Amino acid sequence: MIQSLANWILSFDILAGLGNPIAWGLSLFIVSALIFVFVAVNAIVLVYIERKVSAFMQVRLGPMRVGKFGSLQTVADALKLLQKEDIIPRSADKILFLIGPWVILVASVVTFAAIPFSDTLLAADMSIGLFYVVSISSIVVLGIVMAGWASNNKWSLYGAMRSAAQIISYEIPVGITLIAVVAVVGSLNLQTIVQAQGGTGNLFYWIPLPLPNWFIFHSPFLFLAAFIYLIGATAEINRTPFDIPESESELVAGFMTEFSGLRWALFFLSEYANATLVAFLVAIIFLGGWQSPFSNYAGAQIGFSILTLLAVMWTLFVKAKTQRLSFYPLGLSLMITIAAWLFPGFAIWLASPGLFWMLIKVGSVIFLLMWFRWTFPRLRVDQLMYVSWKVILPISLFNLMGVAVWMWLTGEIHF
Amino acid sequence: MSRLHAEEMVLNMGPQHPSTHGVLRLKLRTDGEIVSHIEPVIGYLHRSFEKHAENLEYQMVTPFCGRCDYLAAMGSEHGYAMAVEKMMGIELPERVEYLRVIFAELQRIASHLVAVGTFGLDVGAITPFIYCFRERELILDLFEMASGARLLYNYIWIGGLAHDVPPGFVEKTYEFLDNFETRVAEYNQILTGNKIFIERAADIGVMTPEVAINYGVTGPSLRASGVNIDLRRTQPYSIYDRFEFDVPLGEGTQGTIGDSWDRYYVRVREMEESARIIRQALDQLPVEGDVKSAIPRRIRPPKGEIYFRSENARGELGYYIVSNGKNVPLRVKMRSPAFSNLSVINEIGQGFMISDVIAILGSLDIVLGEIDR
Amino acid sequence: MSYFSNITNAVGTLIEGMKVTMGYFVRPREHVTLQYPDEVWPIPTRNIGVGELDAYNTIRSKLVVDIDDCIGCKACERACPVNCIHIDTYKGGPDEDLGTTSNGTKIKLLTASFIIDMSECMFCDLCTPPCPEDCITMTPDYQFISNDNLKMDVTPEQRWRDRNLLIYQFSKVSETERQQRKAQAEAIAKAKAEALALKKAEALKAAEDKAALAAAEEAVTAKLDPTSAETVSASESVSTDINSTGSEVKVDIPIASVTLAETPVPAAEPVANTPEPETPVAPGDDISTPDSSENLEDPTTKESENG
Repeated sequence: MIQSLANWILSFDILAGLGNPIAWGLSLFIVSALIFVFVAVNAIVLVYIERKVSAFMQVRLGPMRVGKFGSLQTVADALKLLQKEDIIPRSADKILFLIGPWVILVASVVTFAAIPFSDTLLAADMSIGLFYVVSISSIVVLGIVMAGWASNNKWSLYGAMRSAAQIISYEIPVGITLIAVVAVVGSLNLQTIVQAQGGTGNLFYWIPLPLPNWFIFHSPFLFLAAFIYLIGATAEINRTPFDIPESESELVAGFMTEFSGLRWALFFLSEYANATLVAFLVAIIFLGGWQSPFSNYAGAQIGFSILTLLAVMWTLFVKAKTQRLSFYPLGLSLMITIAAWLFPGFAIWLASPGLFWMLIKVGSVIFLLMWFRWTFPRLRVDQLMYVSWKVILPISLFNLMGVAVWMWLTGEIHF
Repeated sequence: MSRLHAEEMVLNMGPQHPSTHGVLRLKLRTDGEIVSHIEPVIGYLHRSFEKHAENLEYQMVTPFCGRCDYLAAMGSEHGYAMAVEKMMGIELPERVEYLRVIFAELQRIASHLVAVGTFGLDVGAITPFIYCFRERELILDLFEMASGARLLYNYIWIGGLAHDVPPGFVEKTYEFLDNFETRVAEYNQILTGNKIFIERAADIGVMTPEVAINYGVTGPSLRASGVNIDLRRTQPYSIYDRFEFDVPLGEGTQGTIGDSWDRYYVRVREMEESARIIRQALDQLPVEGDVKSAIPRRIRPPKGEIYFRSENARGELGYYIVSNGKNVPLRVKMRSPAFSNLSVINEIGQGFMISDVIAILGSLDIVLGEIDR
Repeated sequence: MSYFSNITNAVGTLIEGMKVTMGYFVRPREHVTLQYPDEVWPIPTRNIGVGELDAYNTIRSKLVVDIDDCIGCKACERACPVNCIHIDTYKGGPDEDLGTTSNGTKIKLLTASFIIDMSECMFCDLCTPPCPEDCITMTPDYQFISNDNLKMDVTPEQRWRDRNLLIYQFSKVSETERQQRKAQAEAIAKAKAEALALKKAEALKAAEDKAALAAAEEAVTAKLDPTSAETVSASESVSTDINSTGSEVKVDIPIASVTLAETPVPAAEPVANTPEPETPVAPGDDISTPDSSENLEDPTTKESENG
């Protein structure tokens, strides 16, 4: 198995002719360029999806005019932002103002180096992957404080200070939650964490419900931990209901108030990169990463049949409650089920691990984040701190302890 | 341990700020996030109402009334028309009275929908705002059907209405009311009961009845403090004595009586009560009647002065009109409820955080056009 | 215990809210969006009995005048609270046939100019009811955009065209004829005023003579009475007053109203005339009306300097 993308690129014959350090440098360059392109394209796609999701939740249509169903709207917006004048306020701290957005962007892009997109596709196979991701992603706060301070604007300063307080407080419960998982796996390597979640097993070890061996089904404690991590991570990436650093109804735009054009676009880019990163981490740590939910092709067939039954029930339920018929979930699951039963190859593909499953899981988590954002009001600063220190931190400590006890009960560890 | 002491910072909120509901400037003295003094600076949206009124005939003043409180233009016009009618002693046809009540109450719902929606927006919930505006658009459709305009109507004229409602208006209003009652349940589901929302609004900006009365606060903000004063009930004008409705008061369900949550929830319940009034008015609406029959040919009120107040969406809207017997009023002074309601913000907003000041401001539901006049 | 009930309460109510948004998300067909240029809002149509125009309904937008029916009574001009209607009428000749309206009324005044400045109109609909011939109506045409404005090469000077496109001249009378009529009317008014002035002067002279005579008489009696002198001065002032008003009659009323109506115009001024902080504009420039050409050139030169 190829350990990482860079190694894979190095294995090409063309590169073999070059000197070793040059080939190494070139492959690194290609890999980092690929990651950056992924982040940029990802932001454009996600902004479009977010607009559409928010529009549908708000009985609107969202962008409709640029391209089919407005699909090129964000591309047009990105081009517009690139053309805009880069305004630097006269009284701003110029150097910090210029590098602030870049620090945030670099911190959020670099973390993707350790993310295993699939069993073969990852940039760098690090033994301390999780630690690397958590530590690098917290550099973002530095960039935010730089940007907020350098703007020489009171609103920006407030945003930056709030952001610093918020991110630092939420680092702790998030870190402790992640330690619980690391305790189960015994490794910080993200690839190892994913590989540990293969196969099928009972729900919470004893309940006889054949579910994939994902950590979210490992124990009630890790089930809770998944949500704790999601909440903490939402706060860390400054999304609603924890978006107080840029809360537009209070602080105008928070630390981004004075930024325009490309620099403002960088904030946006890193915001969505961070959201994606969190979704990736949730998928990798709790949802089995690139593992398929089915252990074999029969499992895929049966699994989707059950899903179709659930969809039928859902449709009937909606019909009974609102007198409306919605065929989207039923139609989709029925199509996949029929295809899985007719073409065994398709079922085998469904049961095999890969990038597809990773993206499905990441997409679901991102959708959940969007759902949060377009439903909830925003917390206040002190309430945010309350949630962090008095609710999430005790629960995550309790979780850590609970996981240890659980592992002792199930015989995974011995004293 | 000696307390850390930092200098206070003066923070200018506005005139360009996303949630000052227009062009209001708040000078905040802040110690970190805590606000120790709030000074509203107004005058950025001056409408020159009084100067206009000095130079225009009585009927011509009507459109300018709506331009002051642009979110409740029907109510403003209603108050002005009633004031002049009282000066001239005009008896109105029944149909006009009922239609005026229907429009005033529809306008109250529309205005409260904006208040409720923007309050949600101020505390960060964007989606309820859009839902509220969806219903408001339906009300504006009704207004457009009747008057031809969607925001500033000039529909309630002195002595009658500009024209009768079109056929189909009554049915469409019933349809709206049926729809509206389920929508209110939806707002309650997504916003009113939301724990984050309650945490943000309850116990914030508590206005005691004494403070409210001392500052001349009126309308839903006053009733949220538990003071049972609603001009429709205490001094029934027009034909409000014929309808059955409750006056919602703040009960402190989630916190203290008179907090921001109460002010919000009084508005939600007032919308339901207004819907009740409209339903009764539609049931009793006389089919026959010329809405223009009582419009006087020449509007020359006799010499004298009048102060007439009515319950607009924001509170007690008073018109002080001085007539010298000519066709142009000598003076028209508007007592705007939002002006008094805003003045209380320093009293109730001290000691809270910046985010809370935004929430308090949103819960007071001000319209800057009316404050500056 | 309240700690835990708080948490469960929070989770429960948040899920309630999420149900609502998800409910709408899975039913995207319930959207209320109107894609404006492709779909337009259905305008409630009904004839409310004003005028013969079937298209007229309650929607209050662009003002339209059926000039053939206009009798030049200026009722709409007087009813307008913002003075956006400017009418110029002249009496027809003694045997000139100006036609009849569709109601059968004989037109006695020639409406030489009927200008409605839609950029000043506030759509209050107060001008339509007073019209005795129902010839001024508000139409449901709310789309005032014309293709001319979509040109990309709009200079600051041209921006004023946007406003000029909103100033409608409804009268079919040509400018030359209007000038002729104006001159004619002025000549008549002047002649009248001169005749009046002459009459007054004669009267004054007679009064003066009389006063002089009386003064002489009083001088003869060698008694000076101050009251008689006062009457003289009073009569003088009265005569000059009549003179001045007589000369003002000649000035067209619409012009006076034009100058009056231009006071709110500077509200639109910042569009073209954005004051630069480095080069303070002379205070006189701010007050001058936007129609003055040198004021329009200022922003262009400034912008080119900056560019």
